[in-house]
Amino acid sequence: MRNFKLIFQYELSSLLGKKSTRITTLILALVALIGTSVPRIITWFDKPEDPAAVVETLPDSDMGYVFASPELHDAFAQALGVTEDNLYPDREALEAALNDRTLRAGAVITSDSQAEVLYLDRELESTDEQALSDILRQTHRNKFLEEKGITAAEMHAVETFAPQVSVTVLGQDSETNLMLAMILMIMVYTIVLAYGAITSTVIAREKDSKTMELLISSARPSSLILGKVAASGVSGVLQGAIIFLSAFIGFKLSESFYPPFVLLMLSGTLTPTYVTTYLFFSIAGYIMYLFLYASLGSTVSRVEDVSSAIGSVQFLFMLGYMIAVFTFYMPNSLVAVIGSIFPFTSMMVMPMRSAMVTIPPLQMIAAVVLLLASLVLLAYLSIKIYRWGTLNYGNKKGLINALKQMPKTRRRAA
Amino acid sequence: MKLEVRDIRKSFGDREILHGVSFEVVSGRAMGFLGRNGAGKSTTIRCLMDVFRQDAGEFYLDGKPFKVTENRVGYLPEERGMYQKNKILDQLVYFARLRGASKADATRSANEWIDFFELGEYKNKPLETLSKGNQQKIQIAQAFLNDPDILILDEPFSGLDPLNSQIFKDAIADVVAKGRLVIFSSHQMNYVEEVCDDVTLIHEGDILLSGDLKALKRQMGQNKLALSVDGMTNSQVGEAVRAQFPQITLEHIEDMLVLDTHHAVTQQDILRFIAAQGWNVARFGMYEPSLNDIFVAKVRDHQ
Repeated sequence: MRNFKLIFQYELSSLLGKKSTRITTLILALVALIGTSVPRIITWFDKPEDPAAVVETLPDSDMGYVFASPELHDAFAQALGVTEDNLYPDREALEAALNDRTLRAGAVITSDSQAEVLYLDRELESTDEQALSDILRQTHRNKFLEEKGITAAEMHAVETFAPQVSVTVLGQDSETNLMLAMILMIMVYTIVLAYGAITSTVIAREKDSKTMELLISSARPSSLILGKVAASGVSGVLQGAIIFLSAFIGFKLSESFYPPFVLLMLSGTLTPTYVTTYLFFSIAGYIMYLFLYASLGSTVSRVEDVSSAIGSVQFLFMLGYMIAVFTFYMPNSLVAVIGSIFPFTSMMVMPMRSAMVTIPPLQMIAAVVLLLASLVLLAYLSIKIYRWGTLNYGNKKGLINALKQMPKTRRRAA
Repeated sequence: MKLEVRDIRKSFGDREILHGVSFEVVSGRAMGFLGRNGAGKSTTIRCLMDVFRQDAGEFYLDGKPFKVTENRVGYLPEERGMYQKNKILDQLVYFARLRGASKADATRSANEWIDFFELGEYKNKPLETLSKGNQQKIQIAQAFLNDPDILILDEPFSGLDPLNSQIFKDAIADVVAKGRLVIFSSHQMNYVEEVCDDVTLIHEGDILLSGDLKALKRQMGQNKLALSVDGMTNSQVGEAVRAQFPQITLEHIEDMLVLDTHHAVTQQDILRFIAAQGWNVARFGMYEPSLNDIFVAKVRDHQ
């Protein structure tokens, strides 16, 4: 591991020193800060309600009415706010008022259970028919209660009776854990995709620019690949931490403006068990994927071949994301259980499952062991593939070819 | 310090590129590693630098197996490359430290070589901002960093303009004068002839000759005389000489006739013959072949 620290420091300073990295981080941090401050920002644009204005809108003077009988007029006029100004003798008069735009809308009440709403031009948000329907229903209800000898207050008491039922969750509460688990998963997803591609590109660029020949003759491949992966890993974690911290600051500054249900959702997930599970699977999985991306970068000799080389791993990673989303709905399904143990998907599925349900210890142990074993195996293979890659300048070989040809190379060298 | 290359074999696929390459290099002398394009020079050097692993054979330094990362080795690959977007000083310091220098020594050495190539004003700029010629100087500078004990240069003059070539030759001469071991591959004979004390000639993966350049020239020129006559073509002169001395072998090299006497005829015999002919002699004397002549002769013999 000679030179590991030097390679790590150089690669990290190269990554963090890039203008594009700093600008991207700054933009994302600002977006996170502003995004989590939205509840406070909204209040800057809210105007206090003017009670007089509210009163003025009632009754709706832009709406005209026609009643089929005087009884209907008596029954509904007060509730609808009908005056002499907006009362019309018949449908033709109402239509004429609509056509010359004196009225915005009109209603013809033909019985206590039937009415018609007329518009010249109906706007998208027009809800007059719904309002009229509510008034007819309410009037009908009051009449019914009166006939039965029940007062409105008695009926209200029956309808608003609220039994006290409390909830105690012994394991995980899916409802409250959903939001934060989703946010954290998307963060890991983004960092792995971004820094995976960066790791592949860094290695392919060294071959493309022929710098690799100088490096491989100056340092051990193990130090080179571990230094590079560690630098990419730390750079991603630092960028994620800055963005997360910005979001947290924004949230703290605006916490009092958040609706209570959002605060409940955000507070639910942060149990020590969840945080430990999330950190372990995210970090171990992230590093494992970086080794995989590094291996793929070693199989190509030109930067432009990187995107096609990493395609298959992107697909595998997205499969993990899809299983994690599926886990929202069915956290104990077979797919979710296998996905949370399989090392290439467990980094996203296991934290998601652990936010939804209590994980049986055996499943957790299996997932941890498999993930760690895969990490070590991929680290070993990536060193071998990186070394093998230096022997194969020129053509794009592919991961499968690299794995097939490596033993032959070793035998010849022996 | 003596570096020994012993019976190196290397194949790519089913094709063997190096067929048991062996030679020696000692410190204080520059060794020119010569061969046509594709002869196996870069493959041998890459095996030495552990970029490729040889299938058989071994490299020894003072009798012990040679490991590049455990020695102070400066290396200029044939396919040169450095980080295009990184600052020049930063990456030179990085390469020097990778080869074992402390940060202070690496910085001092990098600054020295940047100044040597008169590029001090660019040292904090990315490599890609330099012209191609200046980028080459930086790539050469990285090979000299940290005062290497062994300097391996693969086609170092390729792409260099005459002025940069002269600066580079001076730098190599300084390193040799300090008693360092220098291997220098090229297919440009004139540069090798100017800079190197020893030569090794490789052709199609086989070593054709290896040794002291001056001794080789003497050996190759033994029993050979150079002759040219004003007012006559080399063919006319050759016909006359052959008629008198049928045992002599004739060779046309550049603008002269080379006579190989095979110890059958003395220089005095030939001088007397020339005097008797009354020729207006433009050149007559011992023949010393150029490196190019040696190269051509050896390759021809091999084929």
